[in-house]
Amino acid sequence: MNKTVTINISGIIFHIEEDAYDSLSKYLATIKGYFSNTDGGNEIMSDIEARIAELLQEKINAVKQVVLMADVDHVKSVMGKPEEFGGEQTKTENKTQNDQTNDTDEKAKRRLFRNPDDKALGGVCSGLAAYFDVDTVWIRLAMFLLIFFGGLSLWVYIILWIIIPEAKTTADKFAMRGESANVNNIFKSFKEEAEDVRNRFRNNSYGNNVRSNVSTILNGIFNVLGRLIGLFLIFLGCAFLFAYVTTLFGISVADSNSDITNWKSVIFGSSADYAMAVFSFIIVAGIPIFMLLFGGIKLLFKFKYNNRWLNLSLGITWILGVMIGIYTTVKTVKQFNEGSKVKETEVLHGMGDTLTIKLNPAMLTLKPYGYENADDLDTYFGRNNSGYQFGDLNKKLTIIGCAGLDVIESNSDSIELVINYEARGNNKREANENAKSIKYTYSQNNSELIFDEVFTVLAGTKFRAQEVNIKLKLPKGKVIYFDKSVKYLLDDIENTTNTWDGNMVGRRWKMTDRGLECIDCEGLEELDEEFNFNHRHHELNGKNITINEDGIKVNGTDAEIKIDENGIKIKTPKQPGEPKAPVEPEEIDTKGSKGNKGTKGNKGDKGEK
Amino acid sequence: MGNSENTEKTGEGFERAAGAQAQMRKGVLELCILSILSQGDAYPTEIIDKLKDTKLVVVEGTLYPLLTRLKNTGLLGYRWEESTSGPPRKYYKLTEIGEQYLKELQVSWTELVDAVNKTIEKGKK
Repeated sequence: MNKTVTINISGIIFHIEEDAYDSLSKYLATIKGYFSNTDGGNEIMSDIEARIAELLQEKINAVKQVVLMADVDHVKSVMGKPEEFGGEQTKTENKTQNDQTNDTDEKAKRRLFRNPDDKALGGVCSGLAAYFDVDTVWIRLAMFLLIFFGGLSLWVYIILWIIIPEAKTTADKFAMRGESANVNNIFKSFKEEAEDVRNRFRNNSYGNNVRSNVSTILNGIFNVLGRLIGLFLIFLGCAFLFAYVTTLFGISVADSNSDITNWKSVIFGSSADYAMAVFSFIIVAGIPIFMLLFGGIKLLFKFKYNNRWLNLSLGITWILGVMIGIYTTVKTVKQFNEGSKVKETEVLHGMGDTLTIKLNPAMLTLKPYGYENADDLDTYFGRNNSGYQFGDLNKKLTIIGCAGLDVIESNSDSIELVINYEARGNNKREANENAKSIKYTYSQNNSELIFDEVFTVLAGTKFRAQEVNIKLKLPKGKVIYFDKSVKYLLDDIENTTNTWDGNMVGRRWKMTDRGLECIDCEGLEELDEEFNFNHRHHELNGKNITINEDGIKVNGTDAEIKIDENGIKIKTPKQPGEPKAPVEPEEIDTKGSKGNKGTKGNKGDKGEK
Repeated sequence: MGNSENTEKTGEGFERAAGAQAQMRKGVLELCILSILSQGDAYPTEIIDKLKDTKLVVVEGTLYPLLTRLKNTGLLGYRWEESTSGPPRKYYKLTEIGEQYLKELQVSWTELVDAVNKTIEKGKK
C-alpha cells in the first residue's frame, strides 16, 4: 500500500504516489531553476507543465488511476534534462545515470509562497502553514487572535501579502511543500556538512575541496545568523508596531472625545497643522516599522524581493513625512517667536502696617480635565504644579496656569502691586493680544490681599506660554504675613535667611534695608523640618481631612479623628448636645508647639500637622 | 563538463564533435519548426510528433524554450484551444515576419547544402 498525493498540473488533477511526487517535484524545481533567469521563463515553464500533464494523462486510464514512479521516469526521459533544453548537450549515453545523480543533488528547497489553491484572502496563512508544516487552521487562528493586539496581525498580513509571491506554477507549488528549510533543518544540514568535512579531512586528497567545504560551513553559519537576525528584527518590529498602533488608537480616541473639544486647536495654529502633524507621525514612524518587519521577514524566509518601486516610493513618502513634520514643527514653534509683556500697576491704600497674603479658595475648585471625578482635591491644579492644564470653565475649554508672586522692596512709600501678563506669539502684536487674553483676579480686604492661585486664558485663545508674574512692592518697615495657603503661589522670594518659599508661609516678614527679614522665626531650623514634607489638603463634604506622613487627621466642625504613630484618637465635643458650638477641643498634640491661628473654621490654615 | 580535464584525448575529441553537432541541430531545428508551421498551425505535441522521425529532437524539453524564443522575437504567434483530453493547447502559427524569415532561411539553406555537398564530394574524390 502506498500513500498518494493529489496534485494539480496545468489544471488537471492527478493522484500520484509519494515517491513519484518527490521525484517530479524535484524535476520541476530543477527546470524552474534552469529557466528562472531566462526571458519568458514562466511561459516556458507553464508550456512544459502542460506537456507533462498530457504525458501523464496518457499513462492513466480507468483501471490505473495513480501516477507511478515509472510514469514520472517516462516523463523525464521524454522531456530530457533541463541542461539539454538549451540544446547545448547532445544525446548522452549516460543520461539515465545523470538522472539519478542529479536527483540526489538537487532537492527542491522549500520556499515560502502564497497558496492560491487554499486561500481565505491572499493565501498567506496556508502558505505559512505549508512552510512550517502545520495545519492552516492554527495559523489562521493565531492571525485572528493577534488582531486583538492592536490589529498587529492585520499589518503583518498585509506586509506578507505584498512580499510573498504567489505559487503560480506547479514547480512553485512543489517548492511550497518542498524540503523543509526551517532553522532546525539548517542546523541539521549544517551538522551533516561538518561531519562531511571531517570525513573528507580524514581521507583527504583534494585541498580545494576542503576549502570549498569551509566556505560551505561559513555559509551555513551566515544562514543561521541571518535568520536569527531576521527573527529579532520581526520581534522588534512587532513591539514597535504595537506601540505605534496603540498611539494611533490613543490619538483617535482623543480626537473623538467630546470633553476635549479641539484641545489640539489650542496648541496648533490650525486644525490643518494638527492633521499634518498626525499625518507626518504616521509616515515617519510607520515606514521604518514596516521596513523593520519587511527586512526581518526577508531574512527569515530568505526572500530575494527587491522591488525598486516599492523602496523608492517608501523612501520618498518617508522624506515627505519628515518634511511635513519639520514644516509643522517650525510653524508651530514660530508661534512662540515673539514675547510680549503687559504690565498693570496698582497702588494699594489702607493696608496698614501688616499685610496678610491669602489665597482665594474659590479658584481652587477650578478643576482641570481628567480630574472631574477625583475626590482627591490634592490633585487639583495649582497644588505643587507649575505647569499648565486644560480646564473647563463655564463649559468652555480653558487654559489654566499658575501665577507666581514675588515680594521686593518698594522705591516709594506706598505699597504697589505690579502684575505682568506675559505671552508669546508669531509677532509682537499677536503676543500682545495673547497676553491680554489672560484673566487673573485678586482682591483687597482691608489689610488682606487675596490672590487667585491660577490664571485662566480666554476661551478660544491658543496656548502661547502665557504667564502671570506678580510683584508686590513693599516699602521699608512694613510687615507681611504669608498665609499657609499661598505656599505654591510664592515664586522665589528673596529674604535675608535664604529661606525656601515653602518655609516662608505661616511667618511674618519685615522689609528691612537688607531685604525681607523674618520676625517670628525663632527655631526656624526645627520648623524647617516640620514644613519639609508635603502639605496635603483635602476637603470633603465640608470636613477637613489631612493625610500626610504623620498619619490621617479628620477635622469636623466639632469632632476630630486622628490616626498616627500614637494610635487612633477620637475627640468629641465636651457637650454633644450643643450643635455647632465653637468648642475648643482638647489638644492632645504631642508636639503641641502650635495651635490654630484662631480662625474658627480652620479655613486656609489647616492640616499642617 | 567539469571533468573535461580528466578525460582522455579521445573523449575530448568526441565531446567537441558532439558540441558541433548540437550547434548544427539547433540551427536546423529552428528551420524545421518554421517549416512545419508553414504547413499549418500546430501545438507543441504535434510539432514533436512530426520531428520525432527526423531524430532532430532527442528530448522534448528542447522544443519549449525554442518556441518561446521564436514567439518572443515575433516569428510566431499563438492562440489557445480547448482540448477534450487534457490541458488547453497552445497552437502556434507563423506570423508574416515568420514567413518572410522562413523564405530567407530556406534560400540560404539550399545554398549552404549545395556548397557543403560540393565540398564533401570534392573531398571524397
